[in-house]
Amino acid sequence: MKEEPLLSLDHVSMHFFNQDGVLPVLDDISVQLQQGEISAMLGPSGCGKSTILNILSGLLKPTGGTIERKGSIGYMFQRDHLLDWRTIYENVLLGLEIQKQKKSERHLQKVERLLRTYDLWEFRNRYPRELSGGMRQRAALIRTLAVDPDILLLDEPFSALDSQTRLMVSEDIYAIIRQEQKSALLVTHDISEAISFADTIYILSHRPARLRTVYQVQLTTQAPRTPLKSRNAPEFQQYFNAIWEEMMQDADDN
Amino acid sequence: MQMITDTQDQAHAAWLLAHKREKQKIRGLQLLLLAGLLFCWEAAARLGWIDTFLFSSPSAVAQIFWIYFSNGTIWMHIGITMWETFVGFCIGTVCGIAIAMVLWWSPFLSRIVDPFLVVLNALPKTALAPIVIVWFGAGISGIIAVAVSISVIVTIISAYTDFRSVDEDKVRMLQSFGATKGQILYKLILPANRDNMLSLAKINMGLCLIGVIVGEFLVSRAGIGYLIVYGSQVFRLDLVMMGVVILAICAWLMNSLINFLEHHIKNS
Repeated sequence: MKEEPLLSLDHVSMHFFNQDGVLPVLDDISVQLQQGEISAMLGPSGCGKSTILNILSGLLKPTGGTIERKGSIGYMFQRDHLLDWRTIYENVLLGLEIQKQKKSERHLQKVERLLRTYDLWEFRNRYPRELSGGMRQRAALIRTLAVDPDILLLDEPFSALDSQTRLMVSEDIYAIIRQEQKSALLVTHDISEAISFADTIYILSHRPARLRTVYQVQLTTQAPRTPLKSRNAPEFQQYFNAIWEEMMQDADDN
Repeated sequence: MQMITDTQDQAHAAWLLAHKREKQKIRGLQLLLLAGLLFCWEAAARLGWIDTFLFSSPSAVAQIFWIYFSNGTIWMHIGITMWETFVGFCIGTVCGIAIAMVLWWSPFLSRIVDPFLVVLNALPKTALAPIVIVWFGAGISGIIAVAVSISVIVTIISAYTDFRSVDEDKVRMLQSFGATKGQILYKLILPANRDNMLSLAKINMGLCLIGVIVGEFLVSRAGIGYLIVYGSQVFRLDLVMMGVVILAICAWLMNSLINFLEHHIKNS
């Protein structure tokens, strides 16, 4: 018997109105995220990924279909969006502060543990400008984790970093998500990133976005799996080629 | 190793000295320039090259200053002008920023008032001064109202533009934690614009001084603007010149005060 999914989109469609008429953005999207799973949505730029994220986080209501969510959402953005005038500690507490839980001992202990575990405790009184890109992105993730979300939405969280930092940060973030036993949905246009990160990959077409294919990623790596080990797995290239073909096909259909 | 550090220290000391010398040189030349101008003016007046009735002379300005200074009335005039400027500045800045917050809060409202703000901004506000004086009375309150009318529109427009320019994604980040509009304003929009608000304050100080002087030209019994306009009416150009010089000094002092505050707030 299959467990109830944490998050499910059921035949979701979405259109917007503008001066010229109706703009269809999403067409019949069905996605499920199980407890403890990392999934990726992979699609060409401008295919409506941010619309999906806005629907998932409740900022937009879909025009068709249903969305079911068991648990709270934590959002991780492309850029870290740390506030320059706050120290790292104050930044990390921002979410708790907004939800008026800053005085909750349990949450403060959790924040301290996260900062210590992910090597930011010594830097807690520094300002964001004094930290490297990777540290900033970790601080941003801790800010999200501090409010204890059940589901993490990652909106191209590495695309603003240079390629070297990017590999390191994705190692870090992956390890944190796994260790904290979170479920995550990664939205990206980067094929390798999707394969190295996700258990399941949903491939979207160009706009209006439809689901083209779903891949279950199974790689032979030494446990525990990490994005870097995944990149070296023998199956990686096969997945990459298959998905690349798929996306090129989609571009031709356009 | 020691040798190298020693020579480096010496070189640094020499550099510092040269730097200091240059600063002193500039300051000295500035004073010399000022003294030279005053000397030429005085000389031209005494030698009859210029008509002292129209141009006055530094010694005449100093004399009249001494009269106002020794009977203490100069402080009254300076005090009134500064007070009017200060009150106008506070009202204009606070109201302007408050209205900008309301517009930020309601994009719908801001779209409605937009054309009105654009027209008011383009209009030379001094043209409104006579009306404002009629409305608010021919006294200190009217003069303050003129200062406010000159500074408030600029404040609204610049503060609103600054509030709007905060990264939309940062707003979404706060929303993702369930932040209310008030929390977004208080935790993001206002602190993100601290430096902009400071430069806005600097501009406002100057605008309010313009408003106060214009107001004093129109109606007043006291203040630096009154001294200038009274002096010109009775053809006492020494009084006019004195007013202008005092005004210049006051403006310079106010600007230094704001720079000082800005420096302190930024480094706190």
